[in-house]
Amino acid sequence: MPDPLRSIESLVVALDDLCLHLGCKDLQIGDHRFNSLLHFCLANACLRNRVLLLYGGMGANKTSLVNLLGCSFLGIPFDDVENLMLTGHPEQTEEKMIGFIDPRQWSCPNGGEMEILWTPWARSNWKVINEINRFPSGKQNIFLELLQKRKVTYAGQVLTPGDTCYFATMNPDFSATYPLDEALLDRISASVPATQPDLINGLALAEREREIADLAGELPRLSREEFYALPEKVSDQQLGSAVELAIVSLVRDFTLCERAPSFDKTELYGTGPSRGLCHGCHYFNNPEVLCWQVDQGLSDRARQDLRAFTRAFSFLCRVEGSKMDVLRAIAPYVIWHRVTLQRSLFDQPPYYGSRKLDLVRTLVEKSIDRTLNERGEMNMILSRAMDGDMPLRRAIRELEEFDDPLARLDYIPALARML
Amino acid sequence: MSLKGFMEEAYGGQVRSRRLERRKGTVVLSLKEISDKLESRPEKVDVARLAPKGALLARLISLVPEGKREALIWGYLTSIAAEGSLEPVEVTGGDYAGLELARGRLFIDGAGDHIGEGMKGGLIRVRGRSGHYLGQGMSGGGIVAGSSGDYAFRNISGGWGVILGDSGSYLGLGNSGGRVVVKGRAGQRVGWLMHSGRLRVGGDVGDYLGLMMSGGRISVGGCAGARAGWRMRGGKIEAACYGPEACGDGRILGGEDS
Repeated sequence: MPDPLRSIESLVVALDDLCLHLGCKDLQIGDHRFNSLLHFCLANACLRNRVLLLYGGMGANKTSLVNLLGCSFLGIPFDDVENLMLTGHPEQTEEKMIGFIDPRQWSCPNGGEMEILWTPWARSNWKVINEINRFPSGKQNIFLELLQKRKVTYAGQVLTPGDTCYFATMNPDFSATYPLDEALLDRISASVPATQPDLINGLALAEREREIADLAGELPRLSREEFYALPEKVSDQQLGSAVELAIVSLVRDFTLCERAPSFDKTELYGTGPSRGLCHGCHYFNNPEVLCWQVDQGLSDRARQDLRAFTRAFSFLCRVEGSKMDVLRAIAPYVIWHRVTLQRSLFDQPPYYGSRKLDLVRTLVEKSIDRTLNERGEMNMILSRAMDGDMPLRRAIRELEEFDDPLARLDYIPALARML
Repeated sequence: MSLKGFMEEAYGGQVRSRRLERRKGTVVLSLKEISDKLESRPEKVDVARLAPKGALLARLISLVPEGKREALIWGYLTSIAAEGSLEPVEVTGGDYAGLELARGRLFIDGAGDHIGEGMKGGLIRVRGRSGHYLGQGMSGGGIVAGSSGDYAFRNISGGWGVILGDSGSYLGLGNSGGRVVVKGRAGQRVGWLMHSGRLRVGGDVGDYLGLMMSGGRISVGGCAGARAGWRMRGGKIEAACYGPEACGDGRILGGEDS
């Protein structure tokens, strides 16, 4: 079997030749720059059962890119990939989307199990939900079940499509769009902004005479074996202790709050830092601490997605050694759509209430830097105490001096329970 | 792998020790923080620059200020909140509520002193009694209060005020405009040094009504106390009856210039 990564790399070159507008190379990993839109799509195609949301205005090539990749990864014609796409509008029904009861069985009953005619979209392993926010809220719940259970149910019948690549596109808020609720957003693994072509890109696009559908035939295609081998290749990537520790600390940093119950920081509807939950807390307004800067925290799904995408990017970008740069680059895209930021902070310059990804990127940097530097000693104290190399009471005393929210809310109570 | 081994691998044997840096960010979360960031006497424009928005602003105006400086800041914040809201903003107690209010509506329960001082527009509704200096120096807008202490609507140049109950002494002192109505009684020296504007008191007033006034019009539904119109140079006073040593005879006192 040929190396699937070589096929993907030739696909990237071919896409470049197509003059498909994808925006600038805005993702820095180590010394190299990549295009976030393209590489997150490629990473998601290498993973299974993750959901990638492409967010941006109309004409930003979101759907075209996903369909071109589908064409190449599945090795099928462009038209067939387009037929696998589900497009959002208020009149979409469950029957049109996932399947319906075969009406022929009423005229000639076979007495057996009721037969459902599943739609090609429901059966496929490459699911594209186009303009997901044009589905009304009630119909968005169908995706909630699919993304949660990886199954489709209709009239008591269950369809298990198997390992699937999920893509969704979303426009900004228009009159005909409906907001995505937090539960659905939490099931979206990563969200990438797609930008409109600038003048230079517009000129490049003007030189292209042929339609994308015509050009799709020129793209290199992965074989079936290569496509199915990708998840295993990705899982072969080892993250290392430092990256694993940074991921766990990052999720906890976005979630910690001693005033909210530990099971409730992600579900604080009536209160939160923006509503005065942290008033009087000495961590509040300290830019070094993250807990007060986020109204709604992260769930454990974020941790799983951070690990998966770090591995996928390490594979795609052929990163050897430490994967920390990969984590730094991809973590904001995994986190930003899931969190609600502290409003007063977010409204201020340089964010002006709109540059959410930039603010989340800053917070991610702070958390990772803190874990790698300031938290070193306290992490060693915790590990020595947990492994019995240090008296628990002494460890607690020493940890108390750090005044770090993680030490105070996670480490010390854990050691106190061992006393 | 043991946790210790995991950590040692994560840090590669190079552990640096630093404590959490304790500093405050740019987000303002308490009246004291705003106070600390302002150098001299707080000005509305400076407070507006530092004021948070939304729920945090609502949170700040629910706090009890400590000292006059914080009270001034709190007063500006109540005005900033009312000016930025389409709905009426409700606050409880405190001095300087609605300080230099320019627009919007502010509803106050159990108000302190200096309510609506220097206001230029908008509406303040005080439920119950307000303290002293109600609407002092206002140039626009309107205030409705249940009752007031002394120096209500002092030095006003515009706007209007209604006191549904009684007012204290020195009502309308030095006014150069505006209209004020007190439905109940008022204390002494109502309209003292008044230059222009109108005052109406439904009930009785104390001594020295319109003392040294030079313009404007005062109308009293009840009886005026002693020495009404004392050393008056202009304007008009009208009362149902007058106490001893009132200037002039009859129901209307006053000069020809008003």
